[in-house]
Amino acid sequence: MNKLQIQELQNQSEDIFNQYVRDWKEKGGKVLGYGCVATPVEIIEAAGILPYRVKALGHPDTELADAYLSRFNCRFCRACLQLGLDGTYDFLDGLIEVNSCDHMKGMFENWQYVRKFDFFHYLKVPHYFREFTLDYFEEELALMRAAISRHFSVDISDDALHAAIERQDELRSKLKALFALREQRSPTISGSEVVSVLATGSSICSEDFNALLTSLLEVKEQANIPDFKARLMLCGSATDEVDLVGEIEAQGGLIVADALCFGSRAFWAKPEGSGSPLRLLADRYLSNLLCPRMFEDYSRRLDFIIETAARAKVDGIIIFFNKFCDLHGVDAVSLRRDLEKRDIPVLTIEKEYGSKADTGRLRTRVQAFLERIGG
Amino acid sequence: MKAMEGTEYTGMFNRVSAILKVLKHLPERVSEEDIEGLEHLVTGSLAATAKSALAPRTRDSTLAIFDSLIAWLEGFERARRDGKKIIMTSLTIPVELFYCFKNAYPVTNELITTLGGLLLEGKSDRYWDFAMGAGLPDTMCSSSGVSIGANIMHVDFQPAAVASGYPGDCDTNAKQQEFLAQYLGVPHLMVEKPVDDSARGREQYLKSTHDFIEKLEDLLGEKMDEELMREVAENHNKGAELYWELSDMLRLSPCPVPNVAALYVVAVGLTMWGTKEGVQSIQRLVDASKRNLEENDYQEKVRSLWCWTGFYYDLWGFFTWMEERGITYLGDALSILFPNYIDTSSRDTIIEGFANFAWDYPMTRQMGSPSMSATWTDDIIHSAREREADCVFFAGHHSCKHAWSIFSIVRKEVMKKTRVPVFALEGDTWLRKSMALDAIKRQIEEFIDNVVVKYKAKA
Repeated sequence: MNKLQIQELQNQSEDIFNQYVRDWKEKGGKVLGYGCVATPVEIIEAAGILPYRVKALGHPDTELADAYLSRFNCRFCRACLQLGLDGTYDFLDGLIEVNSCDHMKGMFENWQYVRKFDFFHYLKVPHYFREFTLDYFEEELALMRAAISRHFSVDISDDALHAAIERQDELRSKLKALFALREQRSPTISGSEVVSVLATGSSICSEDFNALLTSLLEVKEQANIPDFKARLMLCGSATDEVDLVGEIEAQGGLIVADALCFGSRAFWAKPEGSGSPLRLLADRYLSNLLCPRMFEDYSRRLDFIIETAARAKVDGIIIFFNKFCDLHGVDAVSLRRDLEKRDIPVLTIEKEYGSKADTGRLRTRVQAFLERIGG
Repeated sequence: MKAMEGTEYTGMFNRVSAILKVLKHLPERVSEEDIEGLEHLVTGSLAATAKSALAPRTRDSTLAIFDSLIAWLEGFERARRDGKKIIMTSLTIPVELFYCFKNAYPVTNELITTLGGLLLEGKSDRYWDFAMGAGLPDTMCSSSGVSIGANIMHVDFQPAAVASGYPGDCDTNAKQQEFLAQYLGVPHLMVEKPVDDSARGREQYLKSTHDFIEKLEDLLGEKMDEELMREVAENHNKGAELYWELSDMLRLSPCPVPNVAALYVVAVGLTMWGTKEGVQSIQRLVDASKRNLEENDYQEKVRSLWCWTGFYYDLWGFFTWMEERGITYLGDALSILFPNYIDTSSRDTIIEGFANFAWDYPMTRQMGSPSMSATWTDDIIHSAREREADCVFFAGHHSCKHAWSIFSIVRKEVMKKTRVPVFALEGDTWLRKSMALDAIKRQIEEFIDNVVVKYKAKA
């Protein structure tokens, strides 16, 4: 894969119904939409279906979605729903809902109420980890497997699941290698590029994403990032705002690490394991969410951030969350307190997803933060 | 984060307790002269609250609730003296569970918030501001946010644990309870409601309840006492019968149950359900409603069902004001309970009975369902038909992201299936500052005058 091909593939992250998905559909392929990293994409891939993580690239206006979700709901979800209602997502052959958060639940419920997909499956993810919640989640995965199998008339064998798990393992190690490139002393890839790669990866099949990463790693190992003022880590709620990350970097704060679900939280801490594929997946996903929607898990989330920040030698951390996202909004208070206790400077930003009106304010706050940390 | 400055007398719980203790000295039969005297004694919004709480149609119910709240408070003080562990609990955990231990006493977040809003001059605004001062987002829920603000002052009491049943049915409250536990450095005990109405979901909920009880037993160093469990379950069953009796009276027109009874039912449910004081309070609410039925002097014009919360910080501004205009409050989602009969034959049947009751708790039942809109719609339609509502109000608290996220579907479906007009209001259930009650009253009047009256005429 040459530089041009890499660029082309990366460009897929700028378009919802991108050329890759169009080609997939033209070949008769099916596509299933999902909204949360708690969805084991391995099961979808093992069925020969393309898993597509719902995004709101381009941050559209939300006039259709606002007739359903209220202004008290997160704008990321409203923007995703907008694209669901205006037909942009009509290429999806079905949806998988997860009880990620109250906003996301409402988004899926409205989407299904209006568009009525033939295939709509609700994957119920427990909110804490115990043996009995793991058992329940394993059963949930079995139900999801059966539902996909039944509706799309495909056999999802254990062998196919193991193969999909192996592909994800390979992806994981390549993503870690990619992340190492930005964590190193002289980073060779920017934070906005990484978000863009992850967004691309969430709408192409793992085999092609693996190939993209192999080529990207070769190219990026030799790359160079111009001068920057400080090394930053980005934490917070779900976002595909490549432009926002770019805006922070334009102020001189290079994002060298993250704890985002369009970032490291999607793959980093998945444990190794063996056994039946569904048990393995249940364990990997339930114990790996590192999201404030999980309980009795705060210290693990905090440790993950501290370890990542130390490894990437960051000068400060930006925690951002979408307005009305109380899961992250409340968690941010504890995180800030506990990180500052460890002398890690923190900037907390509550923002409106995709809002251009917020750009000036964000720019000023990032600039002030960079000054504070001596960048 | 530095603890907020405060003295013993600035704590919200302490201030509320002091007022309740004064109310203990009210005579058994309060006369008009007594009320007049009280109005001169207290000022501002408190005078309006007192006048409203002791209005003739409401008076007996209010005195019943005062008595039981005072008994609950005295129980709290005894518990502290005896070294029992205070558990800061919340709306979605059956309060009965704690009364099954010799060494525990529950204080419910939402009750403290509500009492602060009703009884304190200046309402509970100051405590909300403390929470904001700690950096918590202003989009979170004031139901426990106010109480959290009061708790982080560290002047009222230190709970031994924070208990929550919110995971699965309300993100913001679930996170707030976890934050409080972290802040206070005490264990956070949870029950999770799976978003699964199948038998498997119920079984999972029961497992989660057992898990919670085990953790609580470890914390308290004692097993749930079977004798106490039976006593609590029997009280629950008596309370359930009385609740259904009260519920039946809500179907009558003119409605003999005073508007404010809905709030009082919530108070009992949150605080003393399963205790003999709880049973007595509901009994007295039933008796008071029966007396109203005999007197039959209420001029009812419109029957309103509140499908989510009401506004709980101004009795006069909300409940009594409506009653004076003949607008009946048929209850809200928080006061519409589904108390079951508990089989007291064994420890397991009793625990299952508590879990079944909690499964149908307000919000847990609707927002913890796999289809929030379908379950909520069914509940509204059922209540609207059973209580013969002329209209439905949604008091949309900005923090109820789940309810707001599907309200559009709910409104459409309820109106399509019942033809009953539905109206959405915005405002904070526990705080006066997000929208003035006068503005809310205007909207209620306009909706009733322009829509409901016409709907009734057509019907």
